[in-house]
Amino acid sequence: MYGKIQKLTTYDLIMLGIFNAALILFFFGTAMILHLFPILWGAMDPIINFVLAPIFLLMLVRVPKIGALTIHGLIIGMVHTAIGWWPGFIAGALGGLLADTLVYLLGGYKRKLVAIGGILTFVTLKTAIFYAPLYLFKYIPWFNDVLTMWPKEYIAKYTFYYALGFLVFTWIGSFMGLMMGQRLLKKFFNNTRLYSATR
Amino acid sequence: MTSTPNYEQAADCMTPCKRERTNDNRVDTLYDQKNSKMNPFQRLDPRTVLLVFPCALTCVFLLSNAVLRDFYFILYLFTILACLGRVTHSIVWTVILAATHTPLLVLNTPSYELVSLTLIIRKICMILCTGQILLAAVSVGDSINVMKKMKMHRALIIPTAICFRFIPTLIFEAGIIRDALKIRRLYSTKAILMHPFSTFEIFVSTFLFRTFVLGEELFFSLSTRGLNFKGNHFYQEVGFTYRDALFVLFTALYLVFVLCSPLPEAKI
Amino acid sequence: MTTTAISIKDFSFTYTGAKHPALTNINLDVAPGEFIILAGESGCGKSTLLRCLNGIIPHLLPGKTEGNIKLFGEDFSEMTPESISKIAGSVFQNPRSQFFHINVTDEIAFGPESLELSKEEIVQRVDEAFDLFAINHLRDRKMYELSSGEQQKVSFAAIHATGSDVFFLDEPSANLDFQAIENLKRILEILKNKGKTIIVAEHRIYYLSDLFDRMTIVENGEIITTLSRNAKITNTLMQKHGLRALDLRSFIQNSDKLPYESGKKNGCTNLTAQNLSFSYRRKKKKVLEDISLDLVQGEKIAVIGPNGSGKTTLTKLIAGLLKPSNGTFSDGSKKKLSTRQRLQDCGLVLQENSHQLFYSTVLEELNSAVAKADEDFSIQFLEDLGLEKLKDAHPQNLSAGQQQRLVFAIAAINSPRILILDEPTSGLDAYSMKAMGKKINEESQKGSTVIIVTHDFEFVSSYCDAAVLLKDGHMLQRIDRSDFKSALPLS
Repeated sequence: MYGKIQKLTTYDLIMLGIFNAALILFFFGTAMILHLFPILWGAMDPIINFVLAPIFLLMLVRVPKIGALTIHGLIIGMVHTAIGWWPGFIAGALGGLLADTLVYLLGGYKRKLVAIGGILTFVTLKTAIFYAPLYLFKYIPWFNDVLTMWPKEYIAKYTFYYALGFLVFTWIGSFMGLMMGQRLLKKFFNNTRLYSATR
Repeated sequence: MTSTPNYEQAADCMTPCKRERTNDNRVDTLYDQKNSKMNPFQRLDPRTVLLVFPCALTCVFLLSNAVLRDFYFILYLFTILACLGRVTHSIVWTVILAATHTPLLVLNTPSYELVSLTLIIRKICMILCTGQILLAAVSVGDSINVMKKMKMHRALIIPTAICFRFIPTLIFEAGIIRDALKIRRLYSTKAILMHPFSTFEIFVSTFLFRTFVLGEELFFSLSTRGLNFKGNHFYQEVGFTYRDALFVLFTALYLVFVLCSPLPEAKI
Repeated sequence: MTTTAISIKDFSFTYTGAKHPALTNINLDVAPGEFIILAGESGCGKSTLLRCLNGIIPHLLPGKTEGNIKLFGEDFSEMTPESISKIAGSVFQNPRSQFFHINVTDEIAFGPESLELSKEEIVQRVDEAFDLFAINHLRDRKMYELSSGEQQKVSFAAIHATGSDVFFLDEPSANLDFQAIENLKRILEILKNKGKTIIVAEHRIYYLSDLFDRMTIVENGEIITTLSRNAKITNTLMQKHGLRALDLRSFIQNSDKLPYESGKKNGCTNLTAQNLSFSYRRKKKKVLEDISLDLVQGEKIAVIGPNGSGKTTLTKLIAGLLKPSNGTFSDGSKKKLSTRQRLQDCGLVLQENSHQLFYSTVLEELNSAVAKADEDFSIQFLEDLGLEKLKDAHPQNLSAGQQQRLVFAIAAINSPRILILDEPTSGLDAYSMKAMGKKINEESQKGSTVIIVTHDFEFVSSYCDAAVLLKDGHMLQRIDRSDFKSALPLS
């Protein structure tokens, strides 16, 4: 039932590196475009995850080994730190580690459903941990002082269920992206060196 | 017998030739690090910069919401950015901060929305300026050398090095694919609005093919060069020096000044 | 002590899953310090042979091997790519994908550092490499800032720093412009003078005419003949073997007539560019300045010039991918042409074939390009190109030559008014170059103006009606065919 922990070869590491470069590129590209539309700021995470999901899927098709998501999490964490939000490093690292652990327990990335589950787990956990500090701000004294200035009914809106709803939408965005990724694999990559080599 | 083409002045092989296809300024600004003429952080260990700035940011984030204290910290960040040649960034943020904080000076009782907005903008300014500093001050090459020196596992070093090394190449490749799509009239505002998913599909599929092929080519190239990380010595040594100690000390003292000194609270 | 650097005895190789062997009964001895050219048509097995020598085959690309290869007396089959890399290094076609580091110094130092040398040894080797190849001005530069030629130099320096005595080069001039090829020649001279053994698989051989010791001609996976430099190798002999010219000057001098009747219709203009100027946003320097050009119906015109002269920018302006800062485009009836109209009227084939293939079958690819969807028309077009058997194949699975024919078909299928080809003969052997010339002529006969951006003077002198010489964004001169012998800028 458990997956195999196989050594990541040089080829695997190079492929991971280059797919991570593609992921970072699409991440920034999508974020920069979305910044032009303030109305979409709230939906930024679901949209970004929708765009990245097919690339995730292809990365794991190419390197279906335990550790792939951890490495990605660490790299994207470094990028978040470089932007200035260092909790992003913890988010990436923890998200990747937990997703890889779950995949290991369920049989490994070679099982497509498990791979999809792993990606969804990573995305959800990473988003949750990434934004968690915002909810932890309430423990900071000066933040409480600021909050008291606001009408209570406004503050009451941003409850746990608001955060949960945000995570659910992120999950849905990623799921739709993975369905598109499946379509891409079947339509564009089937019978090519990229896809057939792994089967 | 020799009959190679000869084009006068352009035949100087010592002169760096510009890439004809390049029309991409983004590549230069994203990686404008060690080669920037104004990089006083070049001689610092990357670990110093990567630890000091996030720590300083966190301290100010957690311990201060006073406008004046925040401004003193932001002034420190702007000074660092100016030293790194990123003056435009500082000017833009100065304009934004001035525009948003001026009403606080003018109004007797500013609303809670305005107070919150100015607070958020100050904090975002700190985060993004810190990010700019890290991108400008830390060399990816030095970071990789530090990772090697720290004997970090190759499973982390190789993907990290390749990831950052390939970002400019993939930007270049994406530009070519975009041009090819435009020529085929598959990429236009109309195409994106009317068929967003198909446009995305065909762009991504070709892009990922190129990604894969580049990865394979690199693999062959590196395999024939004996890729490994066994060596203990490096051409360019990185390590902590007195400069790192001085920098850390100065930043710490400045932080103490910003957070603990009895600054007169402004009206705002 | 062995007297041979490389010894290949009765060597054959078949790729996994292939019906026929890629290499058959290869016998070749290379002495230390010798310079060997592997020449032959596309698909003859040159690159496969090089891969067998640098360890890619069979360690990274599996297959069935027979026979024996020895490198300085050591049996290849017992060596790993890592152990081979200590003795031999490889330089590949695409400089953009060969490097591990971003920084030039780190890239050159990477090899010695991996060899577990002492710090002093590392410093000495790196500094020596910088001095030998005269690239001290590139220290600490970013790799992606460099031109193809400079990247190629860094490649050589990196391999030299590892202490390699043997260099394998797979079509090193394929992606280089004329200037970079001149630099490449100087680098190879340096290496040869240092006593390095060099094996080059190449189509464009003219720049090696003063350097090589032997030329080994490969055909269908077998070595059919080996020519020594001392032997009289004429262009006729090269053509007989399907190879490109060895003496380029003499080839141009003898290229008077076009092999086909010109399709040029004097007095009928497809497009006129008037006082074109262009500069990229934020950059003050103009990439193109005051260019005026008449594109006559049926004319085949080459755009030549050094790297950075604005050739690709000019073609992008004509094709409608860029808007000029100044100047206008008009058609034969003096009516102004907008960017959108030019996009519709022009076909552009970029240098990189695989970037221009977006669909999952060849037929779908062609159908997407046809103005009015007609599958029968597309299939007929494929038959004309010899690709009808591949209509259901994935475009990314095609060979380089097949992809090139396909992207050409996609650009030409609607008989565009202007057909622009960017380096169409890069990496092509003589037969493929002739086939390309024939196709271009067919399009010109239909009335299209064909613009060819190229550094390939062999092709220009064989097939073009005229050439436009650019330098630093200015048009220096227009050279008619009758003036090619005297005006084409050869040294």
